[in-house]
Amino acid sequence: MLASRGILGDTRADVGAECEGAEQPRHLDRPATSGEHAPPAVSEQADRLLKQMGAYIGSANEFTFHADITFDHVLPSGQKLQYEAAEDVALRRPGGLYVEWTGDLGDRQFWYDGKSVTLYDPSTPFYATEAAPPDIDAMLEKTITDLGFTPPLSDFLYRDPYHAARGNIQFGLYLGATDVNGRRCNSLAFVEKDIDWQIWIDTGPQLTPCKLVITYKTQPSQPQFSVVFSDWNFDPRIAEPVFTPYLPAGTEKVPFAPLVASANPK
Amino acid sequence: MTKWAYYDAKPGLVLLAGTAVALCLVFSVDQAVAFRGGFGGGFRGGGFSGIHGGGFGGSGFGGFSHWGGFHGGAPRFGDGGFFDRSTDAGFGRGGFGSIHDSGAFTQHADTFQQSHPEYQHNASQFQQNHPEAQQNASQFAQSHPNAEQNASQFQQNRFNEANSLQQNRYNEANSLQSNRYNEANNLQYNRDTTFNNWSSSWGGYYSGWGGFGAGLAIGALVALPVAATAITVAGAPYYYANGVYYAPAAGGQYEVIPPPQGAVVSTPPPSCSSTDLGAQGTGLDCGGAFYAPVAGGYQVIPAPIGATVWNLPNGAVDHTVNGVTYFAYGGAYYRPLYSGSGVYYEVVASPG
Repeated sequence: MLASRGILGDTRADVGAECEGAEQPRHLDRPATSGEHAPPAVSEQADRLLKQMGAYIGSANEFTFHADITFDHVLPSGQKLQYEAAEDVALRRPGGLYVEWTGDLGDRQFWYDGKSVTLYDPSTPFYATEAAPPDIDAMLEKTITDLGFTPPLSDFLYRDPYHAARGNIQFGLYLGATDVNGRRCNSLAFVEKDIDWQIWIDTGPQLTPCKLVITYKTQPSQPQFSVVFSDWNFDPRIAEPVFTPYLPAGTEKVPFAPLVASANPK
Repeated sequence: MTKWAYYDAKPGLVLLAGTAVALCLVFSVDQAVAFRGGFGGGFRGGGFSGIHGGGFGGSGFGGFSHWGGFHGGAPRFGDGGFFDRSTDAGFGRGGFGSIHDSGAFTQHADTFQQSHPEYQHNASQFQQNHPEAQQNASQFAQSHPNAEQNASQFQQNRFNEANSLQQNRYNEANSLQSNRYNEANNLQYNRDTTFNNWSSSWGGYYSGWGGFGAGLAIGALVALPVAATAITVAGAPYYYANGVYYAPAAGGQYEVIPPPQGAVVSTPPPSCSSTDLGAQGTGLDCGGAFYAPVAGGYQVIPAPIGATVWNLPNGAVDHTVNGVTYFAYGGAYYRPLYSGSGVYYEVVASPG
């Protein structure tokens, strides 16, 4: 539940305040005039909280977390079906990442050891691997650019999560504090051209995300991707083999398709 | 529940376990951390109890098997539509689940939709293929030209007609509902279809057709459906009804045959998937039979090299050539690839 001092009262207090970000916030109650370059209108508090969270996560060289996810699958009729998945992430900078996805529609394992990325669908006897840059940020850019996917929640894996998430925001505000899964969290809402997203950030001492909801508002039926985070651990003592692909005997390597095919396989 | 466990001062054997998939990590370090078991649960292995007791989940969505057939060539669940998450299990294709990459995601989605306008027209397509659902008073009158019918007879007919219409609606609703159940069951079935299953030769072009789950075997001798349409391919007479092809046989019977290449039909088979045919543009993959749009309908074509499908035809058999696995069906060879974060199959030349 949102705190009584939350959703309305705090929001107005943010309006027009100067933020510390690179972009100067636009006064929320003054619409941009025609021809005027309209910088993102993000409340100071929303921007500050997002930046604090980014700095907290980005400063860690090693962490793990768990995420419980619901996401929509849209039938051709437009009907939305909701599915669930769980994602566990182990990260060690500069070049270690393991993502394990277990869901209603299937599972995936993703390894990055600083030299290559490997993707495996355990329901098949096939995996694919590709050379990758030596640091996580560059690797993530390569996967989305060259391979056509990125591990979900990759925003929180960048060295600067604030920058990763902040780039396309048009509008943002602070909604107030609320409880998420037993955690006291500040709720922020953002508007982008193609998505709306809402994030809940722990009030502390760990400034980690509690929850995230992305709404793909330009897509038919406006599907959503919703996440509740837990088990953030910034002293996980991750063993090196975690980042090395472990594949069942007999698993066969197949290629990653060129992106042109991956974007339009049918 | 914490997903991470610590193993101190000794090598460990740690289970990475879903309820159906278990992997082992052997650590040779003093301190190790890995996932504990207990992922997922519920859906995997145990079925999805909420929907008619059938299974749920899956990522294969193979072919036609176990499909009830949605008249009019509607795409299947697992059709590859951009928000069809079955093809990537929700794992980040096009940047799904990432704020930073939402632009890339939308770009991919828009591209997909622009090249697949069929996904925008399912409702109208359904209606066009079901004119009976739009029967109106004038049609009713046309079907009852006997104006001399007495009131009771007319009333009886009206009841019959109403009942018939109502029954049609029920049938339609049941058919749609059945399709949904079949979708769920199909998902579970494909989840359970492992590499070994792929080698089996159940199914075929028409498996699951001719009634839910009944299937039609190539070579079966049957009576010709009333709705069958006569077609000619290379001078030979054939018949086509609801996606199935028949050839005249002895004794007044008809033999179920594979889709003859070159055949042109006005209505494609049910439950086809839109497919990139390469140079031939976008066509249909109907359980291993490929159709290209032509004037007057759709034409059966040889499996085009370079065509890509998310689902192997049921009955595809694996072949390993020089250590590379291919799947063969209907004279075509398929090679698995990862596209985005899902496995799909590309039609390739015979590997020899």
